[in-house]
Amino acid sequence: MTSPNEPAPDRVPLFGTWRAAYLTVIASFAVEVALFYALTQYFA
Amino acid sequence: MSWIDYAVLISTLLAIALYGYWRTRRDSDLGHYLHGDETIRWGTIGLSVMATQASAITFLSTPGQAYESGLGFVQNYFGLPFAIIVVCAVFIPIYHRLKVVTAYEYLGQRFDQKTRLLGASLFLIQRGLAAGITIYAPAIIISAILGWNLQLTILLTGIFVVIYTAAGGTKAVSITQKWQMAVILFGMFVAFGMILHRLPADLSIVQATALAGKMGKLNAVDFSFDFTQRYTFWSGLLGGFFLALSYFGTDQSQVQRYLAGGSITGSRFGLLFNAVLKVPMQFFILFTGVMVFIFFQFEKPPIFFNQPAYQLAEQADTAGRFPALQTRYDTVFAQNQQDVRALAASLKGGPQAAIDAAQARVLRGQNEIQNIRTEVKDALTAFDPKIETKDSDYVFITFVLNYLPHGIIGLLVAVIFCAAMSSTAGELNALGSTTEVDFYRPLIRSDASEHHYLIVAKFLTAGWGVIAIAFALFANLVENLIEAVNILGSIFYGTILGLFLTAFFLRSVRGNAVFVAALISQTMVLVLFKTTDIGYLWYNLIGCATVCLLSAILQKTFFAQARA
Repeated sequence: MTSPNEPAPDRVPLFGTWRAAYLTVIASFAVEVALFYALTQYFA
Repeated sequence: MSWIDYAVLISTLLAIALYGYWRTRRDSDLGHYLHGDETIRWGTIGLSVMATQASAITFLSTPGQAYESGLGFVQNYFGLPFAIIVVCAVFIPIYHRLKVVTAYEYLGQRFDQKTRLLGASLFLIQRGLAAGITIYAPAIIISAILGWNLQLTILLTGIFVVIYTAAGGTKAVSITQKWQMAVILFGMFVAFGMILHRLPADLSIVQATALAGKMGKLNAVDFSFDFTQRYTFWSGLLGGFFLALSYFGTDQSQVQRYLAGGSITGSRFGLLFNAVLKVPMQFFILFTGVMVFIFFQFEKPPIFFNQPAYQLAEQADTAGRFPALQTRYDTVFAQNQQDVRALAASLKGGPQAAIDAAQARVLRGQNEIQNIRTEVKDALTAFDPKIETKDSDYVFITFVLNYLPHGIIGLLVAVIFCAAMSSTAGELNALGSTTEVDFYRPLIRSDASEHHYLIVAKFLTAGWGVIAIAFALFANLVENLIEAVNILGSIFYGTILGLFLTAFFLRSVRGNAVFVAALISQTMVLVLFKTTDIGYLWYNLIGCATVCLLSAILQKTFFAQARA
């Protein structure tokens, strides 16, 4: 329920909730670091 | 550069500037001028945020950094995704709810007028100087390499930006930045493709990467807790977090970008776009630098990349020191080139012992080349102590000008100018808006018409542009300018971030306590800067922590009565 003074709840396309969007960002960062680390180790 | 390059360069820069001017020529709405309109979607916001952060020096310096020390610099950006999530979750909802134009308006609403002016003043000092450097830093490199007049190069970069930024405001900045970023990304992909194309025919990208790994250039992630290492996973995560939080959360040049468009979803998606893509983009630019390094194992690079400075010293050298160094360099490079070829051949399925032996020879040769380059730098310093001996900023532009075809050279010089113009436009837009909203309206004239404020905003933006250009024109009077401005930024960022974090999370603290805490913190950071050798990045953390802790203590003690 929103009060009359509050804006309507924000819709989050693709992700449903902002928490899911933030978790996706963290997951993509983890994948990026894992790939960089694999690159570092594999070609060392 | 040939006429084709000049045609590509001038038509690209002019087309984008004129497009920005044309799209906003009939816009006379103050709201649109200061914070854009609903036609600015999240994709434009995302590219605009990226373009503001990526200055020309990013594309000149970053590949050179990888050429010298590999991929480790990418770790500096590891705190950025987390900082952006905090900005999306905490900062953006508040900015939107209060409908602020500048971040410092929020400080006025949460605390009082003097705290707002303090935050805005710290921003203006720091960003005003940085705007001059954003124009000056690439101009000095481009003019030296291309033999252009420095003053004309500065004016070429500055005047276009001032015209369309002052005329069109936030909307013009956002839409031009979108196209400038498109040119930058396209240009960098073309450059990367051309580097791969110029590698020896029998060397695939995987083999080139393997070679780079054996030469110690692929050290992208270092999980050690070694504090003497400049770049580690942990220092990037922690230091990078605070730096990015200050920058994206409280620097008006970024706040204005993601508040453009007026939708909270647009702001958040625009920033999250950067949270996902910034780290891979930096990695890609660094990897391009690593491939330039591999290219220069097969093609002899100059002994010192800032060739105009080197040639000047060489001509004045009567003792024959430079020719002797050049002869030694030629011999060592030729031997090392054979060793690199042997290592590349052994990496194609050779026995491990052969790979190890070839790698040891290559690393020894690299060490010798490095020693000769150090001797060259010493000789240059002896010739003229003012010569900048750090030549890594010249690596990428040397490759572009000497090894890429005409047309592509023009495109890549356009990339550098687009980057300079896009970040300068964001800065001028923010400086003009902050001066108008936080100083002119509350302190000089609070009851004028919208038209009056629009005209004043345009004049203030143009005024900051003139100051930035003038600063760039006279910047060579100051030594180590770029580092000086970086230090200046770190000195002020900590206090500004402390003001905002106190506002968000320490609800009981009021204006007087935080204002005194900010003044003490700023003085303390300045004293530390003058009297100690602490690395300047730490000032972000020290300044921020001091404001938060001290304001809480002052509120509980000296200002407890005032609150009651």
